[in-house]
Amino acid sequence: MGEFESDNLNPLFPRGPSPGVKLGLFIFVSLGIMFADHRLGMLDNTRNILATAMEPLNVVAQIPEQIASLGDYFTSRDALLEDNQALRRERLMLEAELQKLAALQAENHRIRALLESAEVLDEKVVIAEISATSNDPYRHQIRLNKGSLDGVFVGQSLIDAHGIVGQVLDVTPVNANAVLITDVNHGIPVEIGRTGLQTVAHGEGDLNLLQLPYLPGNSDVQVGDLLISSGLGGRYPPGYPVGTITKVEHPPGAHFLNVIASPAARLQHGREVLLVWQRPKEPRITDVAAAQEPSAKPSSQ
Amino acid sequence: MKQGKPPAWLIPISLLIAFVLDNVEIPEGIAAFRPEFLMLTVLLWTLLMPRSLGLITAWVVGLFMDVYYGTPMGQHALAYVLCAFFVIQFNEWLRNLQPVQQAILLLPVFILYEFTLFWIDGVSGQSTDWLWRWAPALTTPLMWPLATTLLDRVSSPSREE
Repeated sequence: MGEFESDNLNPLFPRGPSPGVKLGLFIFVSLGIMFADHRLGMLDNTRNILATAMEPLNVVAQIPEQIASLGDYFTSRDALLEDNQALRRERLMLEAELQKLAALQAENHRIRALLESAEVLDEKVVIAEISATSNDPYRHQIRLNKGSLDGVFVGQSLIDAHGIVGQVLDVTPVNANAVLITDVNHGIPVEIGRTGLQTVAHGEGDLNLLQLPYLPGNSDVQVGDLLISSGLGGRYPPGYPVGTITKVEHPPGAHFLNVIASPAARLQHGREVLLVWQRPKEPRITDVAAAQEPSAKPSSQ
Repeated sequence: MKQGKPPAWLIPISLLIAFVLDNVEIPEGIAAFRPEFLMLTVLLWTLLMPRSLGLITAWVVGLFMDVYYGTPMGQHALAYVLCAFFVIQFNEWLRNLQPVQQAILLLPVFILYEFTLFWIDGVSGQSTDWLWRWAPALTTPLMWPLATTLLDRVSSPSREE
């Protein structure tokens, strides 16, 4: 027993600073890096490096889930499952194409469609699997199995077969963290498909709710209106469904309407999402302008 | 638990298991009551080996949790290091108590942990759920006697009392 005494505190000849001083130092350093990280955003690189170093932990964290899914491997339907998966992915891709059509139709309802006909919904998408979700109900984050090696970048949009899911927060070489549109700290610029009214949809910390807090009392909003991403702010591609308005309320005396929408994307369902790469916009509008006034700028030809 | 020195390999293994327990998916109804397994394990080791596993270990583990959970870097690190400090300060006193007594006396430490996280969440503008923040402060000490007993069994299986 005697040899373990060395692990006791208060040795005869203490070395180094006292515990209180050490604690003070740690508190100081913690507060310092918190400030640098949260307020100044100086530690993004450090965070990415540490996150990369933690990759093996992600694998470990998924062990229970993988054990639970071990049964799949022993079924004789292996090939079938694989086929099924491939087909499902294909369908997801196709549905993503389809929702662009729905968005274009909404645009057609408005005369503005004429002006915006140069806008092309032509993006590249790749399927990513959700490898983990956040336990904290107030942080709606998911981890994806694609990273910077696959070309994923911070701020990239995620969609599923039904609408916009969220955007990428940080990226390691093989993984990415994304925030959902329902996160309390998230807002997405949207327009109301029927009228083209521009506003912002905020998350509420509830997977089935979006709030539109900035609509004045006289705005033309109805239950059932489709919200589509407006593309303002440059983060999200324009024209994808974001949600449907489920409640419009005008509290007496309030300046703004209380408008609630339900997200179009099935945020709680499925294990796959689509990462979107927006192609650089082709200079169609300027082409049109050039065609209309060919003599205005002959030097540009 | 007072007699044996647990083997060193047990430290990383137990931390890993605690980390997995912290992150394994459980039904939503009980998820709010999930104890803070990793914090508990760090404190357990700090109590057992206050010299080899002290503030630095707690801080580093906390920092990694900040990276993993995407919280402001330093939030969990600060909470871990504060708790470890109290366990080290009252180490000799705590060590001579029964696990159940230890759990009761550590309750303020677990509350301090949740409070630190809660406070920094508030400062950084992150909203949190009341139940999710405070339920673990009560369920974590409930796990303490279980954890100490388990550690005792694993570290000295052949010991005759």
